[in-house]
Amino acid sequence: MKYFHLVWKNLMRKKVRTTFTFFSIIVAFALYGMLVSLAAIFSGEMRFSADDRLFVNAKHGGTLPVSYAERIRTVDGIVSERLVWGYTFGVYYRDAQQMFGAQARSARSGAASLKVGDRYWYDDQQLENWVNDRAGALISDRLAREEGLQVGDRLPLTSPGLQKADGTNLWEFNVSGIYGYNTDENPREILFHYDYFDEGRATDKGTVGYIVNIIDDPAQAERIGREIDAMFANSTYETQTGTEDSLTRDFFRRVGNMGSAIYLILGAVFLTMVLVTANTMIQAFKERVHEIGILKTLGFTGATVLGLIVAESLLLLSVGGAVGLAVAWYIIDLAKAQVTPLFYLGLDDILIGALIIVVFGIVVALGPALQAKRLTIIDALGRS
Amino acid sequence: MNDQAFIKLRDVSKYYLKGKTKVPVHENVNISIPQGCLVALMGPSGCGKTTLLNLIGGLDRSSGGEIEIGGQRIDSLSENQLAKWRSTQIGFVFQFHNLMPVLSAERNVELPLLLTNLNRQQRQQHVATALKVVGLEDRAKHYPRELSGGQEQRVAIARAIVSDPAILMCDEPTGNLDRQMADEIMQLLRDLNTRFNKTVVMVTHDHHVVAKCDYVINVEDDDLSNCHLGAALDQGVA
Repeated sequence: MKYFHLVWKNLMRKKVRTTFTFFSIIVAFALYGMLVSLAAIFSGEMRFSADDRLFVNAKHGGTLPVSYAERIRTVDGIVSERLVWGYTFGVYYRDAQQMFGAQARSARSGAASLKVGDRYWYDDQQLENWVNDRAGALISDRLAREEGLQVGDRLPLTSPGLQKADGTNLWEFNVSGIYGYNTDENPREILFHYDYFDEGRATDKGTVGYIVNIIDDPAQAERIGREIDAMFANSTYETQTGTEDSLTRDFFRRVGNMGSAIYLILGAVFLTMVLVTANTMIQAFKERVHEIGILKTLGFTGATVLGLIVAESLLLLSVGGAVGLAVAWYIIDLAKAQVTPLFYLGLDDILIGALIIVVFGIVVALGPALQAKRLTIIDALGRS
Repeated sequence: MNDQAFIKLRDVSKYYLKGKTKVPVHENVNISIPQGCLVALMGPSGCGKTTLLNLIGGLDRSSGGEIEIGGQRIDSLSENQLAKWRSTQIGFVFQFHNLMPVLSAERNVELPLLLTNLNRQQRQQHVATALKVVGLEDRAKHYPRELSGGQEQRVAIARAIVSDPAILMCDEPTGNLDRQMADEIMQLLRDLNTRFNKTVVMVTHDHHVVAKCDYVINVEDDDLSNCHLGAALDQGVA
């Protein structure tokens, strides 16, 4: 600690250069934090939901006939009262820039599904009111809070990409209730009756975007999925059934090896940071050759001088890296609440970040530090 | 002044390699300097004054011979041992002060103490004392750029004495100062020599400075193979 003042003063000698280097380190570690979070999603390290939530989607994209729900109901293992079908599309309230998801759902089974587990919080009476009101809607607490909505309000929403039979894009709902998540999820969203939606829309009537069932025995998920897909094989609308987790993984597999691509980008980011920081340290060494000679004259050993330069590099990377990781943490926390809870920066990622700071701190300083260690006093003073 | 030799050079030689050719700077140097005296090394540029100073101060290695300071053979010390020895036994003052521009006067003076086991409070006490000795206690927080040349040199002297070394090695300490400041610095060095019994060895071209020294070694003209100050002075060696 007694050398801290000397190390800090040397670091801040060229404030502009240090500031630029500092920001490049912040950016690198902020990107590290965000990219490892993304990579975890793409490389399949992340679990997306419980395995009891079985999704039936159109195998080749698009929609499925709503009549499929009745046939799926007959498959052994399906819990009939929780068989939900629905359609998701984008809507906005007052600000067209603030789009959010509107989910048309089969109301009775949709309400029953909300009650499974403790993922959601809700008011039983409000849930019942929603089921009984065809134009009723359940809105997330975040949407209610941000738009100042209350139970009983009339809620007009515009769907830019989906036209109604009356030629407009305007949907009107009654706010029947407010619900929220007990998890990290905190989306702006609205649930309303599929029947009300299907009656109002102009095209694709009688189709759904998904059919989902919360099954009792997750171990049966694969078997049930196979049976459902076999049931609709070679039809116009083939299905692809799986848990949310398996379907998401499958999607990412089809997107490509994004995890590796992200790690490559991360490598490039760190390489750039190392080059910038190493250049700073080399410049700092060249400017200070004479002063290194003075320190050695005063009795500083080569090892002490080496330590001072490595400490300077470690300090630069530690402060920049810590700020960068804090920025990443903040952004991911924000994204987790507002985009998707899949974003996650774990303690192990932070610890790896800390390890990278130490390793890079030593690596970028090693060249100039070893030169400083070997530098003789006569050479150092003679260069001035 | 103690006439016993405190600094002893025995058959010391120094040469540099220029390609494969040995370029001798000093050969067969035998010098004895008693403790507590103020010695000037004089001579024209390139005669080897600073090289001799560097050898005595342990900044450079001799090519042969023995160098003994206060009973310690320094030519046989390792680099780390030599660094440790310099930090405790020698204070250096240079022509261009050589202060760290990013550190305040007190932090510059504190530098040699960072190598000790003193705590921050103890170091501050030593620094305050050293700055008081050189008359700069009111400039402790000032940076080198905020000081005059004479004040900078005083800070450098404070740094040189803060560890209470036995010897001060000065390489043209007044060479970059006007007459008045040079006289002040010389007086300060003389005070340190007389009040604290510091042995001062300085390289100088300044005849005013030389006049205030106990001994003068003319590096070019004197017989360095047999240059024994103090006891030998009466024999007219120096």
